[in-house]
Amino acid sequence: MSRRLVGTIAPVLAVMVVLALPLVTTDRYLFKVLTFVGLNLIVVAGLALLFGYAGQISLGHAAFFGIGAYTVGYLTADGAVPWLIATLAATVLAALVGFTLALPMLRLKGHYLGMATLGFSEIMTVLFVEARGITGGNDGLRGIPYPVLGPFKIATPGGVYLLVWITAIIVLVLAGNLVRTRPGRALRALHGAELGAQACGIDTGRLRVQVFALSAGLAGLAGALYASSVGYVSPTTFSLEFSVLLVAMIVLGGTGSIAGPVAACVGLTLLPYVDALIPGLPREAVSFLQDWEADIAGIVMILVLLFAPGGVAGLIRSMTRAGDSR
Amino acid sequence: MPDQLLSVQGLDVGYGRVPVVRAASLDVACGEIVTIIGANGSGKSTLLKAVAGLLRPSAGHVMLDGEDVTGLAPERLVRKGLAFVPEGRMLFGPMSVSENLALGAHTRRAAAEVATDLARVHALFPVLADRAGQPAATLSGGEQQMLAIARALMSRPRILLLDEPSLGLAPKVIADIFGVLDALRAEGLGIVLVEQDANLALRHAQHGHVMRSGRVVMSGTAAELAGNDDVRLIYLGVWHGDE
Repeated sequence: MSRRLVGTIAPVLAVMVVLALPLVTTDRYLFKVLTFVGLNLIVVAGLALLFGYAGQISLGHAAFFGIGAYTVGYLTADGAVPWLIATLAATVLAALVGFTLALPMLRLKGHYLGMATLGFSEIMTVLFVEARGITGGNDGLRGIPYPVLGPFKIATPGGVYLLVWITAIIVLVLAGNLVRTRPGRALRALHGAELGAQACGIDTGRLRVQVFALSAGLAGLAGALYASSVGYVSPTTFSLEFSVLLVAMIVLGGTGSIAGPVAACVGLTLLPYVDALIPGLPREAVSFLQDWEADIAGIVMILVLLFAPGGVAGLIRSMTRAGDSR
Repeated sequence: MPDQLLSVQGLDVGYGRVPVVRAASLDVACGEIVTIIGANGSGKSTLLKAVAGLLRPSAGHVMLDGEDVTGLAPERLVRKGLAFVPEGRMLFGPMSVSENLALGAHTRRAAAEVATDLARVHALFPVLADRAGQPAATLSGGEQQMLAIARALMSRPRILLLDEPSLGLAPKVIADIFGVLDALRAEGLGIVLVEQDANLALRHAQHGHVMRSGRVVMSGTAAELAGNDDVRLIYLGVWHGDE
């Protein structure tokens, strides 16, 4: 009973803190850092469904993020297309590319699916550099305008922060609800017992394409918001490293959970910015954390896989179960 | 034969180019258990998988209630009233018993009917009601087999395909499960039962088919097969003088 109470109150509290933050601080740097957290959360929501629930790995989600970012950059650069329409277009385009990619990958699983998405990611990285007419090549696109919603121009870091986080919260709530509904149950059934899922009358192929397209669309949405938040896009942002970091968030957070990956996403995204967030930290510790960021993430991931395969969510689950003393 | 619920006619099935089943035919009427017996690797499970839509036959027809359903995907067949209990049960281990049953009713929208059927499978297998909130993986082997059958029943099938339901289970549990199968048959369900334990299968079936090397080599009523010397010798393990 208490567990359910915590499960209801904790997210509400978190949302209140997120929304109240602009009232207590005007720290521009803090807003920028937290905006990155919010953007990653949107991608992680989709990946948690795809990888955490349906068991389909993707090492190419940075590319969908990039598709979203470049689409918005290209469409809104000279104010040609309104921000909202460009953002929707970016989301739909990323989802469509995801759908098209998922169709031939239907038969692939595990490592092979990982390799195929990796290949896609590499192709897109080259495309982002070489399609200069659209992407601006190595220089990327600059001067992407701030989001404009009707008469309101969202041109402050605090405003962008709120826009991104409200979007992230909506996406997370929808994802959390989805896994409890009929299609969400089918999604979880896909993981591990595909034959059983087929025997239950679940069209597993269609479901896999749908969830891949959905997660690609969410990555595209995050990329679109990124482009108009930051104001420029360059190809290095959408590298394999980012894709791997996203997968690491799901692994650390725990599969079959939304809350776990959310916690891991917040932690891993903030790691490079510890110096600004915890002011008292000694200089050596900060430089160590920043220099070894990728290594720390890697070692933590190995430790999690070895000793706590359920991730953060699994640890919390076993702790509360022990606490319930059932 | 208008009262045939399921009619399999001259089915060829293989994996890739390797043929496994050749020209297999069988009929199942309402309220009848038809068993397929035979040694390991004789093609029983392959035939069943093809009927369930998991493998595409290279020749022949599967007729369900007079409609040609050959090569339809499993999810379409479930909607048409054909349910499959795979070998090894293929349950959703981390999910609860009630979630497994809810997934069995995945193709159905009418909540009231689903609730009725849930009450029905709970009446057939009371242990599943006791274990409703427990992850399926934590059930005993017998309970898991019951859950697999119950999950299939949640799609309200007219015909039920069972692949080796007795495998690895204690005699007492097998008796319980086959008691339920008899009851379902009496209610009008058609059942195709693939079994290694020919003795058990022929005691509960009305008709039987013997498979050897991918072919149906013998067909008849369960009593005929049980009385046949070859069947008695090879599949029932009855030697001269035994009885």
